[in-house]
Amino acid sequence: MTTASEAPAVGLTHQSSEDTGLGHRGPESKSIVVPYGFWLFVLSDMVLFSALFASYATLAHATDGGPTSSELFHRGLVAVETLSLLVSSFVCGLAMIAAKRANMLWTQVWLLVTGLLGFVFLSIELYEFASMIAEGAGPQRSAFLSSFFTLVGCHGAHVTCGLLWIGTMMAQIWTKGFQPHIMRRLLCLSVFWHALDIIWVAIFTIVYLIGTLP
Amino acid sequence: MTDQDPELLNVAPGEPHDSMLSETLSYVIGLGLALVLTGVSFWVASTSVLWGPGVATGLVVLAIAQMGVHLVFFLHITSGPDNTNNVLALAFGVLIVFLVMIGTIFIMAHMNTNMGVSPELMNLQMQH
Amino acid sequence: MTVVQLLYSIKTRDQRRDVTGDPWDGRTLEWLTLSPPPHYNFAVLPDVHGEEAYWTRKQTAIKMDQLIDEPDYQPIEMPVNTPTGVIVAFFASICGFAVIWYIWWLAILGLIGAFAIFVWYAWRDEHEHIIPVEEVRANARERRRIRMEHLHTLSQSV
Repeated sequence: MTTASEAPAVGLTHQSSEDTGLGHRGPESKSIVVPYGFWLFVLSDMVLFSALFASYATLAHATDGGPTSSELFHRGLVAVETLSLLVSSFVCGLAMIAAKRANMLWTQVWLLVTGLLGFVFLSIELYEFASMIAEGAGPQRSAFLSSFFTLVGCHGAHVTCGLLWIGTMMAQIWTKGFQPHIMRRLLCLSVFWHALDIIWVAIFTIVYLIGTLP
Repeated sequence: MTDQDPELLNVAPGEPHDSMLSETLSYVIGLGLALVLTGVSFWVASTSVLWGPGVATGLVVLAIAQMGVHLVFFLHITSGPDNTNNVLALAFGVLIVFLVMIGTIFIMAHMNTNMGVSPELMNLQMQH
Repeated sequence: MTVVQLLYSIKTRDQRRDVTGDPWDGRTLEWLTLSPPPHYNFAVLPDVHGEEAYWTRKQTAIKMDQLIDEPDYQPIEMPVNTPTGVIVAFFASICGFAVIWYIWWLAILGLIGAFAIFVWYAWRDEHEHIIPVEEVRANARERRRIRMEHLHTLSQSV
């Protein structure tokens, strides 16, 4: 414990206070702190997906005599899904570039295209799920299928939320313009959308490609 | 915390560009590389270019490369001083993901071996 | 027995109330603020040196019989209160309950409700309110006065 006589050595001279009114040497501005906080959330979301991936990896062969991954997955559809999501990620970037220049027309156009491509992805995925369930390969059939539907379904749920968010942002930009807090939200949305594409890269590689190797 | 930032368009760290061309270029290059890597993945999975047992590893490597392309070109995770916090957070996230995945696979594989499950029961579980 | 203890505590609460903000001669920085704390918690970000920042600061203040110089107060930005979280949680609970019992129409209703509240919240224009510098300064000066008295008490008991 430092004694009072050592106080000056520790920097407390009582002559001037270096305490700061919040804002001087305080935290960074909102436009830096908010995206960083959202990045931390996105990383935690990836930890969630890693748990689902780990379950899938463990149960990928537990097919209980039922349909296997080679029998169920169609690479053609997966290729279309992958391209849709990849291009939607690219177009989302273009939307951000337009938004930074407060260009209403192009921001809305590119956001709309992002949403449409995301919707294409989701439709293909829902079609795939529906046809699998129709031929008896639903999530209750085997542990492999349970873990498949959970993992890919969770990603699809994230994409759905992203689409709702894109729609909301388009409406917000239209009614409120490019104010700072709207821009921050747009930035968070684009981080989220790119992160979803990153997770899809892992999914199509591990689930669909490795799962259908000869 | 007072927001002393008057600039409407101040963006997150890691975005040093100001010209529309260089910003767009970043996304175009990212898209190009990602398309190439995706194409190669699908190709590797369908031909016998790689030695059989190594195909899975090759695909994982390509996936990690493509994730890196996404991080750098779309998410602008660079090594600039403004970006240090983002990189540190990412490194921690990767560590946890790595631990969860490798740890689970390791434990489950060894558990199955060590439990000495009878062949019939094992067959019921694992069908290929 | 617990009831008696509770009743006694409630009855004598006025005599035993602490106003100094530091009733147990604390060593760490959370004891810097008032009791009860203002809703912005701390008026300034303290400048921290050495290991036991608050303890050193307190002992120096006792020894020199004065508090550290007044800092430069700034207005504080605080978020506006909102009931959104609670309402969304309500709809989410409805959705969760419905999903357990396969009541699909109710689950979708819950999700729509939650999303609607979220959109309503996103559309508000007032996100923060500013606490003016005068209020921050007044609270802080009151705290300094109380703290100076308390430090006298502490120095006598040493």
